[in-house]
Parts: sequence; structure tokens; C-alpha cells
Amino acid sequence: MTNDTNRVAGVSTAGATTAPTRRDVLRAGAAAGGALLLAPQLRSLAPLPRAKAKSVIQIWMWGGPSHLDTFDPKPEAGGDYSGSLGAPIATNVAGVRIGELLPLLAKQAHQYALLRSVTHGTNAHETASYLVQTGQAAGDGIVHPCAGAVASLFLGREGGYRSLVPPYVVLTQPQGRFSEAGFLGARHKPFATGGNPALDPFVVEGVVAPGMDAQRQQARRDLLRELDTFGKALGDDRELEALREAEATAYDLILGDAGKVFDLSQEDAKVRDAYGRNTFGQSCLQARRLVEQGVPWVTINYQGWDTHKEHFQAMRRKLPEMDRGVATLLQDLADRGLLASTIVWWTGEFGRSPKVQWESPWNGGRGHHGRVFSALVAGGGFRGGTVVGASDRTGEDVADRPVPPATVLRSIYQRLGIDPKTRLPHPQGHEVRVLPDPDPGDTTRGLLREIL
Amino acid sequence: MSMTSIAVCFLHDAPAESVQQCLSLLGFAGPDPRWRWHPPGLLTVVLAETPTPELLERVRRLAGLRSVVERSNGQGRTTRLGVDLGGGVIAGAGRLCIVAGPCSVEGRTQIEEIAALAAENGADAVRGGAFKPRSSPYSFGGLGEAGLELLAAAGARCGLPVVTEVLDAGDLDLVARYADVLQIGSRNMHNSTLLFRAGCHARGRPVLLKRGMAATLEETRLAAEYVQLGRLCAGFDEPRLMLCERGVRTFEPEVRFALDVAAIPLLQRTLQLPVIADPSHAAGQRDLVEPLARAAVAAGADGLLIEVHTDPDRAWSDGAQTLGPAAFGSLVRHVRALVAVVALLMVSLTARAQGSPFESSGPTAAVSRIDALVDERLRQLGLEASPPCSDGVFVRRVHLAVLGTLPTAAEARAFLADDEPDKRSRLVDAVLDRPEFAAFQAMRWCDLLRVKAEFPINLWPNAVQAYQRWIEDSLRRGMPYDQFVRTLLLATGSNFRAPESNFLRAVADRTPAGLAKASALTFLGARIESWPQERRDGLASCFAQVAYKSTLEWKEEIVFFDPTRPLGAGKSGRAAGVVLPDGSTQKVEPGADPRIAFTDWLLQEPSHWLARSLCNRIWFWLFGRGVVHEVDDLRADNEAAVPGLLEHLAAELLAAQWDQKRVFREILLSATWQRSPLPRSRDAGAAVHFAHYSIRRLEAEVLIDAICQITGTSEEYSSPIPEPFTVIPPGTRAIALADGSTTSAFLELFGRPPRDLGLASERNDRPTAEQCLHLLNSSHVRKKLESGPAIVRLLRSGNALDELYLTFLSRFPTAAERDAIRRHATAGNPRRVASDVAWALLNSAEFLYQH
Repeated sequence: MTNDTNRVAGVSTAGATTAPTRRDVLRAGAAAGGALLLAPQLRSLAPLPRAKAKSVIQIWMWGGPSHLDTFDPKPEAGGDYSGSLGAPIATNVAGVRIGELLPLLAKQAHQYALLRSVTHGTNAHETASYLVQTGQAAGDGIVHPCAGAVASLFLGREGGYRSLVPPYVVLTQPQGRFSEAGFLGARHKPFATGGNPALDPFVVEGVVAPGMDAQRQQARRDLLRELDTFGKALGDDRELEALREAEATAYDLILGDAGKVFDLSQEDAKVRDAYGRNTFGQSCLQARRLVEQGVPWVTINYQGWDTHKEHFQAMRRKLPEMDRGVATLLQDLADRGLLASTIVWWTGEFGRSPKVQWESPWNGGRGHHGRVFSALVAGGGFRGGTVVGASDRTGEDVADRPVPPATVLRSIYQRLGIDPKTRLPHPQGHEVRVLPDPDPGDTTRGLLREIL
Repeated sequence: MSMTSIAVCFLHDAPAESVQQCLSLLGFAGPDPRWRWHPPGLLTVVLAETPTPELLERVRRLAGLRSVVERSNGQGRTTRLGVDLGGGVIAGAGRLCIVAGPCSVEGRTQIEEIAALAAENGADAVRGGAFKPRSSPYSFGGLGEAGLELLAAAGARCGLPVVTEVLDAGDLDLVARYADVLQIGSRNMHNSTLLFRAGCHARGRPVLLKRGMAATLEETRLAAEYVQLGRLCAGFDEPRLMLCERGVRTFEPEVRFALDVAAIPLLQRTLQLPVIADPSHAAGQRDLVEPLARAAVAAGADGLLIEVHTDPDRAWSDGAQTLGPAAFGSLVRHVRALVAVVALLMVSLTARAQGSPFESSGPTAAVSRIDALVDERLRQLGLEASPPCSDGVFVRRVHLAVLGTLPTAAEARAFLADDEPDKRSRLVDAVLDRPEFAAFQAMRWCDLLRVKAEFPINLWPNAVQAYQRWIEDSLRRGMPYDQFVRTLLLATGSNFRAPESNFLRAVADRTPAGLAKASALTFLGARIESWPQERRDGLASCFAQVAYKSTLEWKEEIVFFDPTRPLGAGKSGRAAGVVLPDGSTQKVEPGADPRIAFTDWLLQEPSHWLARSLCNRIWFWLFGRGVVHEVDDLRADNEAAVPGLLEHLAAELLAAQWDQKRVFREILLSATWQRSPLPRSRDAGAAVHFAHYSIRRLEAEVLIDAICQITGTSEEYSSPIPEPFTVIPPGTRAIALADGSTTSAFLELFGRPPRDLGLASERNDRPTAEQCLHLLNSSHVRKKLESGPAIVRLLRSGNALDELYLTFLSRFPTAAERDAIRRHATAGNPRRVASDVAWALLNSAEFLYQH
């Protein structure tokens, strides 16, 4: 497998024919000292490369992380905007700087693309979460499935996925505010691990039962079978056959090798340290182990980003942990040759208001901000070392290249080989496609062509 | 004031400062009568108040600390512990444990012959004294170490563990070297040093503690506490301790002591440890030993301590109460037979012999018009109907289907014991009158009516609560169904103050077309998408003048009739009227609400569509499948499985002035509904035509409620929407939750309907591997099963096996199940058996499925 993702932007085998042009542009941008802005029209006529990504790790920044303090710093806007984080740092990609609390991610900038102009204009958690993860506007009377459930549909059991580990895993708690699977139903809901990967053992609900050894599990299973008077009386009933199959799969996970994917103690202590010995860091490590086993979609539900109050204290506490986890994940995936086939998608439901709310009761807080915010995509064939779009001087509005959530999802689907025009199985037979068609005037055809 | 005793055990190499720190944490500056140090490592403390968990946590973090316990008394233990005497002999695991032997070891031949005699007669252990506590200093005091050696050798020869008394703490090393079980006698029960040191002796030998001849039960428990603390201090987790009731001193001279039979269940219950009876010492005379032994066994003693000798009249001590070989042999036979009889009695009093636990041999004759119609259909198709279900299946089925609630063990037991022929109809009447009927039906209606605070219905929490209460209240008061329908369809007013107005808010699509679609689905059980355009538009125009406005109150919304709105696109004013679902046209006068035209038609049209649709739903709720399938797809070309059945039920409903309960009752009393779940035919048509009762997984809410009821636990439910946060009190049942968006991972996992569309198919009862993982192995369910107060109480009860089966499955265990459990018990650790059985029953198909 060609692993081009270790190298700095612009050297992609996938787009070899147009690479020189783009490289020239990049150099020009770098020389100018500004952010790297790629013209979306640049590759609009070139055929897009074929799907090469197999898995997605979605780092869901629940609550909405500040774009100014992460990937879109605005020191020039002054302290009322940058607060106490007014000194962004340079990355290993010329001309790209990010928040000062992300020094490790600054060394990985060649691996990822920053999307600095994602926009949907919604400031309510539920609706924004729904928009970012389904690509659909709320209110059409249909509850659309989120991207993880779509991946579970196309790349899960029906798509030839054979592992016993469920195809859509969330670490560690489900999001809860909307039904992830939508009308696709329970079959495509994520498997929420529960437990805490930073503790030993990582008690994955139902898979790992502390204090219950294999021998006792087996003895219990035998007892269960012996006491199945009803099942024996009923014989080969179809209903019960489904239960028996489900139970057999469950036992394969409990007693067989498949469940070992959750045994983080199999990892080298140094690797575990590198990810950070905290819930998020170990979740990143767990996510890598899952994609290594072929799990198509892993969501890390990373909570605590809804920082209305004392925002900067929270950033100083949380960003170093996030920095370490994500940077190590990117490096580890690259080192193992997995980054080419794994998309890492970092996003919240929105950003946070650029102007700091110094007054009480916020005491230096940031509110919800859906007009413009940042996301990160890496791997799976997305071109690293790049920046798509830009916000304005204060980070309040899109200045260039608005990116609606559907564009991010369409690009991810494209890398996964999921055709967004495919019709989804709706229980009442409504005609629903994976994504609505892009605006006919959109020269990018609703794709992040700059980085594909 | 609540005094609390706690014991803090330190490791032997614990730093001295740790003990000091512990004392100062607990508020002691120096010597104090309220604390006491027991070398080598135990600190006991009496506190005026129960220590806070934080304080206990700080104590637990001290260096060199082994454990902190509150006074044990068996509290917190889930089941009576068996005690391993050595060599696999376990007291307290169901089998009566007989310990037999002479009062004292007199010589090699004597003890070997007696040990052989004991073994031949099926004793489980040999006893014999080498150190004898005697009332008189002139009596024989035992052979000492030589006696121990002889006893151990005799036990080894016949493969039985040996029990012998230790008199003095200084002899512990010596006695523990030979004995499998250390006996502490009556006269030493108050010797606290001996008790504690026996508990913490390094060999960890189990202790048999005899009650003092004038000790109260509480004194006996405190003595036991010394032993237990000793064991804790030495790091032994399991309290290998047995108590022995050996008679107490009374004013009665004709018996040596009075065997206190009540002490046996009392000590068992409070300490959760085996209690052995010693009828020999109580009797003081041979011929009383067996009657007392029988009394002890009938009272539930876990074992007997019997003095036996090959030649009792020449025994060196206690000859008068010692049995000879023949008397001992017959005693063992008699008490073992008695154990079996008692067990059998308990079973036969409660359980009635049945061939199959699922079927009864009662009459299969049709009892109602329902049965006549169904049987005729089955005859046409050549399908054989199954016989009636058993009483156990019936009591469970009727509770689950009508109340969404598992019958308790007591309810099941009472129903099974009832001999009257009309017991099924009495039970049906009783359940229809229970408050859970309204609660559970309200849940079903809330599914249909999409009662949900959040996206995409967005009713908002206040309105959800008001609406659900209105629905439940209507059902509880028995509001006639026509009135229920009319009220919902014609509602106007505030979502908070006129709860029924939420009917017109609870749709994701609030256009006239969306309201028409929801109304047709809810009341006609029909999917408007398949109707001709003209009828779809017609029904939509009935809702064209429904309008909404907000008020100054947060999230309040008023539903109102707005006659200024056009009746519909392309309609030439009001004169054209509206087209109704049957294709007829109804004129609507200017200023009149067109909803009235639809409602009047709905309640009067001659095909009784509304009534048929409700009856089909009731049938679906009770059978898991509609007479027309799917239950909400009524149309001319979707044939009923049994012709005429819905028409019959609809006529009954109308005759009963729209009283739904009358339809429930008629169905529940039919032979069709009471059929066995075991099919007689493998033909797929058998289930479709109700030849047997079709099984289906319990609904998510019913399942978690059943688990909570059995274990005595509750779930935490919350609503994520603030302003205001919905308060869901602890103990709220899942079937009573108003809001479909209430957060619950369990309900999500088990297919609770999202309440987005109101279709029956939104509920998903299919089993998945993730569900199995959760039930088999998750900490959520495990915690409930292992520490739920109700299941803990149940497992401690005398007849746990019957209670378990009645609780989980509403029936008694079969002989085969008893055997299987017995086999499991011999293979594993006995104290886990009961909890393993509870776990297996919870995961059994019989429990998980409505059948």
C-alpha cells in the first residue's frame, strides 16, 4: 500500500497528474506567508480517485469546541477574541498555525487538512448535531440516520463485514440527543462500550465482566442450556432461533478471541503512555485497535466542550489531553500503514462564539457558534498539510469557501465508496437518499475537491 | 442516636503510625473505652454515628490496611454460605451434614471402629474429644495429643474429615495440625481470646462454635463475630464458621438441656451460616436423641452432631446420651428420610403435578363467538389448534399482556393453588381493574400518538407530561372510545392547559397533509399514501384550518381554528365541501370547522372502520399480531386472517357503548387467547391464524420493569432537555414514562419505539447480540442480580428454588430442572449456585419471551 500521508502536503499519488500545479499553488501560498487556501475549482474537472478508505474514526467534540482556540486562531483580533490564548504556534507546514495548546498536533500538520469554513448557522446542540452528522436539514418529517449508521449499513454486515465486533462502535457513551440510526432502526445503532478505557480492565459492557472467569462463564452457559425447558419444548422455533444466534455471537465475544480487541493491556505500556493515560487518550488507542480489526466506524464521544463559563481554564485543562490523543493517533496510524485507509474526522456540532464573554456569570466564556467553525480530516486519501476555506478577521463568519456539513459527509462517503445518491431502505418506502443532491451551482459538486 | 461498630483490619506488617492515623481520623486522641486493639492486627471501634463514606474511604487508604467492615452478622450476604469441612464435605449446601463419633477418643481400636461405623452409616465427618472440658475436675479429661493423632488416623482410614475441640488458645497450633474442623465448646463460647485466635489461626481451619448453655442468641452472634473478625484479620475472605445449637439450661430437670429449635432458623437467617444441631447433649439420654434430631431436621438444621459408640454403656464419658450402632443406623436412616419427606411436602403443598409446565389437559372446546370464527378458519385450512395453556403460563401471560407487569411469586402461587373452576375469568376481571391497565395502555397509546418532547416531534416536556396524564386518565376513567377520538380530533387550546390539543402538535409535519396522515394512521389504522389523491386531499382539507400560535409563556402553544385559511389548494371555496376517506363528499358551511365533518363521518359511517381498527389494535396488543396484518395497514385488499372476526368485535364494541375493556375481556376469556404456546403444526399458517399462541420478546419497558421488580431495584431515567428539567422520581416504572425521548440506554438497546411516526413497526422486538451481551454479562444487569435487595432476600429464603421459579417464570421447577440444578451445585461452589440459577432464569427464553 502506498503510504503518502507521512509526507508533506501536495505529494499525493492519487492526484499525481495535477499535483505539480497544486504544489506550485501551495508554494505560492506559503511564500506569501498567509494561510494555505486552495481554490476549490482547481481540480473540478479531474476524475476523483477511487475509494480507498475502509474505516472512519470520528472524534465527536460534544458541546462544540472553540475554533479560535484550536485550529483557527485569531491573535490579530485582540484579547477580546483570543482571550488568554493569543499566541498561536507554527506547525510543520509552512504558513499554517494553530492554537498554542496543541504543540503535538503542530508536528502532525502534514497529516491532516483543516476545514476552517464549515457552516450551518444553527446554535442549538440537537439540531446542529443532527445537521453535522446527517448532512440533512431538520424538519422534513424524516429522521435521517447519521453517518456512522450509514457506514454500518453499507460497510457493516450487509457490506461483507465479518467480525463479531459490531460495525459501529461508540466510545464510551452514546450521544443520546438524537437517534443515531434514525429510520434505519436498531440494527444500525452504535454499540456503546460503556466503561472507561483508562481503567484496567476496560469493562466493555457485556463483553468484559470483572471477576467472572472463563470457566464460570462456561458453567453458567451450560446451566442456561440445561434449564432451557421452554426452548426445548418449543423446538426449532424461528423466533427462538434468532435469539440463539444472537446469544451465540454474544458468547463468541465474551469467551472467544474477538473480544480481545478491547484488552488494552495487550498494548505496550509506552504506547499507552504516548496516547495519554486518560479516558480520551485511551479511547484513541482503542479506536486504532478497532480499525485495525476492520471496524468501519468508531465514534469517540468526547464530552466537555460546551464551555459557557470559565472557558479558558477548561481549555488549559482539556486541550493538552486532546492534543496528545489525536496527535498520537495520527502518528500511530501512519506508522502502522493504517492512515491511508482510515479517515480521522474531528468535529463538534458547532464552534464557539469568537468574542469572549468576560461578564458574570460567564467569567470568560464562549457561547455556541454555528455560522463558522473548524473541522479536521485526515487519512483515507484526504490530502494532509492543507487548509480549506477561511473565516473572517474575527472568526465570526465565513470569509472564503463555505463548507456545509453535507460537503464534509459527501467527501467522506466518497472516500469510503458510498454513493450519496443511493437510496436508503425506509420502512414506509419513502424515497430517501444518502444525501440530497448538491446545489446545482456548486462547482465542487458538493465535494472537498481541494483535498481529495 | 445510632451507634455503629466497625472493625479495621491491618496487615501484620502495618506501620504503627497507620493505627494512630486511623484512630485520629475516627476522632480519638488517646486511650478511650470506645476502641480496642486486638493483636495482631485488629482495631474495633464503636462510633456514635455511622461514618460517612468519605471518612471510610480515607481510612481505607491508610498504609498497611487490609479491610474495614461494619459488624457483619451476615448482612449484605446474598445467600447462606456453605462451609467446606475438608475433603469436599460441605455443610449448608442442601445435604444434611451428619457428624458422628464418641465423646472422647479412648484408644486406637475404639476410635477406628466408631469411625468405620459412622462411615458405613453415611455420616459426613467424625468427631471425638482429645481435650475434654469437664464440669468436674475428677472426670476424664481426654488423651491430649495422642488422642488427636488417633482421631486423625481414624478419619483418614475411612476418608472422613475430623472435628475435635480446642480448649485453650495455647493448643491451637497442636489441634489445628490434626483436626479438619476446630470445635469451640459451650463452656468456651465466652472465651474471646480463644475465639479470635481460632479465627485468625494460620491454617484457616473452619470453626464449629457451640452455643453456650446459658447464652442468648445475641451473645452467640457476638461470639461468632470474634471468630469472623479473626478470620478477616488473617486475610481469609470466607467466614468458614458453623454454629451449633446444643440445648440451653432451663428449670426442667428431666432433660439435660432444652434443645432450642427456634435458634436454628433464627441463627441461619441472621448470620447466613450453617447451623448444626446437637441433640445428644440436649437430650442427655439415649432415647430422646432421635426425636430431637427429627425436630431439628424439620426445623431446617443444616447438620447433626451425634454421639455414638460401639459400646456406649462402657464409654469413658457421656455414655448416657451416646447411641449404639443400631440406634445410630436407624437415626441416620430416619432423619435422611425425613429430609426427603419435608422437601417433598413443601413441593406437593405448593406445586401441582403437571405433565408439561406449559400446557394443561383441560377442555379445548370453543367458548365464544371468537373461537367459533377462528376454529372454522383453522378447519378450512386443515390446521390443528393447540390445547389450552397451563395455569402458570396463563397467570403470566395475562399479567404481561394486559398490565405490562410480571406477576409476583405470591400472585403466581395463589393462582396456581386456586382450585375453583372460574379462576381464570376472575383473574381477567381483576387485572382489568388494576391501575397498571391504564398505565400500560397509556404507554401503547403514547407510542401511537407520538408522545415525545424532542426532535422530530418536539412537544416539549411540560406538554408531554400533561398529554400523557390526560391519556392515562381517560383510560383509567374508562372514557368511551368515541369520546376519546372526538376530543382529540376537535381539540383546541393551550398545549399545557388543554392537553388533548397536543394531538395536533405531535406530528413532525404540521401541514394539513401531515395531520391527515397522522389521523388516518391513528384512528383508521390506514396509510394514507395508498389512497387516491382526491381522498388524501379531502382529508387534508379537513385539517386545513388548524392553526398554531405561541404565547408569552415559554414554549406554550395554542392550537386554534382559523376559518380564514383556505380549505385546500385548487379548491373553489367552501361550497365544494370536503371529500371523505370513503369517497363521499360532505359540504362544510362557512365558518364551520371541517374537522367536525370528518369526525362525524368517522363515528357514524356504516362499515365501523374506527371500531374495527381499534379492535384490530387490541387483538394485536394481546396476540402480537393483528387479525389484519400489519395492524396499521387496513385496506380493502389486505385480507383479515379470520374473516368476520373484526366485524364481530366491532359490533361488540358498539354494543358496549365504545367501552374498550369489554373487547379486552371477551378476547382474554376466549379459548383462542388461552392456547398453549407450543404449536401442533409447523405450517407457517398456524401462527398467522392463531392456532397456538405466538411468542414474542417482552417489550423493552416491560422487560426492564420485570427485572427491577424481581431484584427490587430501580432505574435512573432523565430527560436531557432543560427549562424545566423533567423530574422522574426514582422507582418510576418504564411503562409509566411519559416522554418517548427519556434517556435510557437499556430501552434504546431493546427497541423502544422512537415515536417518530406512530407506526406499530417502530417498536423493535428482535433479539440482537448486543442485547444478549447486556443480559448475559453487563455490569448493569449483574449488579441488579447480585445486590438487588429483593433478590437477595429471595435467595436467603428457605425455599429459594421454588421462589426463584415462581418469581421469574410464575411456575414451580420441574423434576428435571431440580436435577440439573443439583448437578450444577455439586460441580461448582455451592454459594454461587442460587445466583447462577437466578442468572440463568433471567436469560432463559421462557423469561424473555411473552408466551
